[in-house]
Amino acid sequence: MVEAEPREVAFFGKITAAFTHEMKNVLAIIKESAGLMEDLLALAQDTSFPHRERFARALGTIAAQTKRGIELSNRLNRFAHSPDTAVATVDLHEILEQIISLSGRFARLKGVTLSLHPHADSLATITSPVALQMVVFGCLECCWEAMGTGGNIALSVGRKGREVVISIACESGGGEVEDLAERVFASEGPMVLKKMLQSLNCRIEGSASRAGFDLILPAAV
Amino acid sequence: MSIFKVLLVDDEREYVTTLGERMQMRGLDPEIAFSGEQALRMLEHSLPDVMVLDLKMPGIDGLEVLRRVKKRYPQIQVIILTGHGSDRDEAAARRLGAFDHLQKPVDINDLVHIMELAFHQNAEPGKPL
Repeated sequence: MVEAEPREVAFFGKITAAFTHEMKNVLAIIKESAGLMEDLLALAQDTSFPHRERFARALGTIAAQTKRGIELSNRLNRFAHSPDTAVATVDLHEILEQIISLSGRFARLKGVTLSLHPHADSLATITSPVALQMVVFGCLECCWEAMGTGGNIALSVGRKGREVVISIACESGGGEVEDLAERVFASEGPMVLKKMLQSLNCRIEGSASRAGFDLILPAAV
Repeated sequence: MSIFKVLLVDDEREYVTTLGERMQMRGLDPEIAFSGEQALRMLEHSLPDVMVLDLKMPGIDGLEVLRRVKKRYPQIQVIILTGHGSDRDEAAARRLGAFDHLQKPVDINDLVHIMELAFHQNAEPGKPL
């Protein structure tokens, strides 16, 4: 497989980011137009307006779906800006939130939910934001493929000496979820995780007590 | 009658026109410019108290408009309203003296409230918000 060069990834990101901006403009126009209709409806409160409730309900749907579209655009925009810096200080909680949002559809198709446990401290590593997102996504993919249908993948972050840890735990669901760390290491899909883990200076450790594993990275000083 | 003068600057015509209509329904009477150049020409005839300014526009972009406005008319409060807001753009806008930096789309009532804060801040400089 031919691997993407950084400049090709940057080009892809630049074009995607530009389109998310345009999508936001479209959504903003829809939102304001629906808002204007709501304003006009409120002005006509005392006058008879056939189907007022149905009209208001439809406007509510437009508002809710516009909000959803904007959130999706914002996520995609942030993702598209990931290659802006080859190496950056990455807040683990923020990037996991981002990955969960981007992976949501894939997980849903497998009947799997994703959750992120909060951590009191802000934990960061210095790494390639694109590569880290690919690695975590690849790990999640290994998990939901192994889990079969249903269950939850819980993500959390922590500290281990001078390192930071991303813990991935597969809760319930069926399937064979033993030796997940080995599966990740042996993965030969489009993302060769073993190679990527090494390039990120990231270790993977299995867990004896739960179905899952830890990704261990150097902490940002 | 509007208690303060407003200029909206955005090249997305449908967006800014609708935003203007909604402001009218809230007691404001904004003027509208569809480009940075048009906004700067309008300032030669009439100065608003508050300007709501998009960043990415063809021709003179929002940051350049902000730079020129703050140099020539520092009394005008400028609120950036953009769908293109990178952290770097926000930092640049604040450094140039923008009152606030908002992401599109914004809740109309929140926007009007921030415009009022900007106007009052100008009317009573130093007053805490």
